[in-house]
Amino acid sequence: MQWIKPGTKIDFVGKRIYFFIASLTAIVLSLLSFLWPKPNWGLDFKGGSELRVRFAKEVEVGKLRKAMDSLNLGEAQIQSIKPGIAEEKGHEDFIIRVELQQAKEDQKTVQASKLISDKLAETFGADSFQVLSINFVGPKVGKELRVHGVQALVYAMIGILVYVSVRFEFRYALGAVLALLHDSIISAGFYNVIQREWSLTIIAALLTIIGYSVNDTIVVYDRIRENVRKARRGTLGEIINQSLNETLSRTILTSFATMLAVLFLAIFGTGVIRDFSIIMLFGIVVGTYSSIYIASSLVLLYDDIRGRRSLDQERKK
Amino acid sequence: MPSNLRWKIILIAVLTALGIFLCVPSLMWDYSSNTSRMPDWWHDAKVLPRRAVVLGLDLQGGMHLVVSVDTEEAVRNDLTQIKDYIKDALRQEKIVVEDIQTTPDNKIQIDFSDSANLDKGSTWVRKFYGRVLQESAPSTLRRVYTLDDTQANEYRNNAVKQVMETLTSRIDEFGVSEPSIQKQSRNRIVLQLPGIKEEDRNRVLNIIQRTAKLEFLLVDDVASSKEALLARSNGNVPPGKIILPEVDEKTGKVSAWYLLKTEPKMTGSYLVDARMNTGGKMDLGGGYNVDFQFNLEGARLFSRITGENIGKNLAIVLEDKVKSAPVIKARIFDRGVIEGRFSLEEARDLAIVLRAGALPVGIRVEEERTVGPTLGKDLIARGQLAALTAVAAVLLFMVTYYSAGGLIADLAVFLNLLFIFAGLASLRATLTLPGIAGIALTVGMAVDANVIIFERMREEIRAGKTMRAAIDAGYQRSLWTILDSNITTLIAAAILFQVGTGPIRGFAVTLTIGLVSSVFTSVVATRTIYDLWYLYTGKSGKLRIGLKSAD
Repeated sequence: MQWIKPGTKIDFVGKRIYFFIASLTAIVLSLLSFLWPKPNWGLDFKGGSELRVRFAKEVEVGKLRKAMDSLNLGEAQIQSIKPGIAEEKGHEDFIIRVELQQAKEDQKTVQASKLISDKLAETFGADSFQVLSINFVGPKVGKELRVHGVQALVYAMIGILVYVSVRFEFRYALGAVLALLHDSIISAGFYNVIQREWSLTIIAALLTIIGYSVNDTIVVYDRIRENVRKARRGTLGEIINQSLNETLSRTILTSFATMLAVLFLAIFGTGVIRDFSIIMLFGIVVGTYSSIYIASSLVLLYDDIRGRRSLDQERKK
Repeated sequence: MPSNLRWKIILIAVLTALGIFLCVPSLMWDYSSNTSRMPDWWHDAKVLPRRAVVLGLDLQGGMHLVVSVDTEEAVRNDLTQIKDYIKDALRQEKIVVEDIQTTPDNKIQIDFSDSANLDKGSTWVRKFYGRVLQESAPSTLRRVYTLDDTQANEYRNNAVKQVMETLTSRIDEFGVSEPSIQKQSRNRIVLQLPGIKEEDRNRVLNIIQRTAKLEFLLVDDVASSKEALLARSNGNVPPGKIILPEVDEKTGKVSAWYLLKTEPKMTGSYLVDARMNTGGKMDLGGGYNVDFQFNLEGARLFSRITGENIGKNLAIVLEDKVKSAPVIKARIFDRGVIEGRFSLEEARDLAIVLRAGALPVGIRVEEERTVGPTLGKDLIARGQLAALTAVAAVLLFMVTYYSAGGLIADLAVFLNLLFIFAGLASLRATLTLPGIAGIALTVGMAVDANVIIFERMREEIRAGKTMRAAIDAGYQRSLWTILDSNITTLIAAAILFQVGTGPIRGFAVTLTIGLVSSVFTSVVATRTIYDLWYLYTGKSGKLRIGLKSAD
């Protein structure tokens, strides 16, 4: 089988200005998505208390909401989780989230989780439900986790910048890292637009997308370096184009294989795995796109600005 | 057979055998009861691997807690202690001070009566505390002493250390199998308590958070309201005294206020044992009490205090609340009882925290993640299904696209999975829900190395090379590409491990092991299979990678 026929001669870098414009637009829109529609910060980043409760029988959401609102624990969010594909039917899970951790009751501080489960027992009967999990994140921790997440992304990019600079050249490293920045910002923007919940796992997904996308970029760079050494004539732009075409098959195939794995994780996984897989799916597409259209073209852009070098100079490097 | 190839085969065989060997305990592990099903002789032989892959708290069920230690309280306490020492010492040295106090910004401020006293006093402080206190002179008769930063940090670190020790013994007393208690950052501690059930959760939170500060203080006065007490002493709390409430355990209402002497000081730090008893007063609606016993030093001190104060009331103060204030009838040596009309559970938990000791400073729960066993089982099932289908899809794709070559790549994937599980088991890393996703993802990425090689081989074949030459060139030219691309991904994984906690860390671990082993399996293992194939079939054996070679 052979999807990409050998000898493709697609001009990837020639129209780079259009792709730069498209990518810049996407980046700006993604950054704007943090203002509107705003990220849907989950428990990890916002803080609060969360209970996952399983009811044996169907319950009225309205009744549940009314019971929770009467507790004065701040705004209560209620999310229903129906049994998914290949899951045992006959029960319904709810995720109940409140803003506060505790409340005062007769001079005693009582845990929000206890107030919630007591109220549920009072409203629906103590035997009708089971508490599956309890999560609490303090406001301080939530803020810290957000900072740490951004730090992690920045450190990863610095690490990659240093490694690629050592193995290749600084301008290649710069191209790779700018492409990564591009990937993470657009993936984050996409996630804001679909309004799914941000959790720590999404930060992990962004880091994985970065790792994945740089992987693609490196393979192309490697080929560029090899071709520069072999080449007798032609401009760097031509060589980059040739290298992109030669590695195109591999780039597409790997992306496809990984997407295949992630797709099944998205279909059959639950909760955090599904969120992870959804942003990953998108991230792989963006990462593949940036490896082909952006990362190498950025090297050319660098040259455009700093002055072009001849291939002889190139080869000495 | 070339010796080079022979060594590769031996290496692969040894690693594979080792991998299987390390996975055996996990396969024989009963995860529902967390016990091994391995025969006894296996366990008796010390060299055999006994560790199974540990499931993370998100899969196994349990409690993950992050608590912060109020280290500033520790600094404040220690500073107050220094101030008290200085105050006493200056008095003994007959140096007159107008006022000595600690300020809200953690400084000691001394106002001397005149310059002669100031000279003597500040010389004394410099001589004995010059190393930890820095002096400044805001006005002629006032000296302000700032605590040295290194010293303050030592106080902070000590507090965290003590809290960790106390929490560890409390958790031990409560009875949790294989708990882990670790320092996370300067003032954070992470507690991992596997197997805690929903009904135990509130008790654990309670046991961890209470200070369990126990004091025995002589009673000066008692009244029904704080105001009444204050009125009798001209509106102020007299020096050397404190006012504390007595709170009814059941209703949470204040039943009386006590004026207590802060000296002599007898605390719970002298306890060697604490047990709950029924007190024999159940029929009076009393409930449970807690018996305690002092060590030798404590007994000496306690007998002196009680002996000198027969006929007076001695308040038993727990966490700044008076529990009871009985009359001292006779000299008491090493035993006593806290009568608080506790419930069974309260009495049992109080005994636990008293035995384990008091927390030097307050702590606060900053983060909690508790997963019940039911949800854990659900997640394992769903995670398995998702990962299996994902892996199967990739394997199928490789065979379809690369035919026989794909089969070899699939073999490498299996080897990879084996190494991941063996690595998890031997490194004592935990398998978490994101970790399961990580495994599936690694498989997707692991085939990448093979794709790079195959595509390279196809290029070489198209350039007119023979199969043999294509294999050589394919592997040789791909090596650095594979290394470079995996090392950069490794950088991301390492950072993920650094910043992540719990489940995320599990993901980083599987990703890292997967990346390292995928380089080995694709570069060494599949290469060896090709070489072997070629060696035994010679030119006649066409190993197909979905494209015909020139030969």
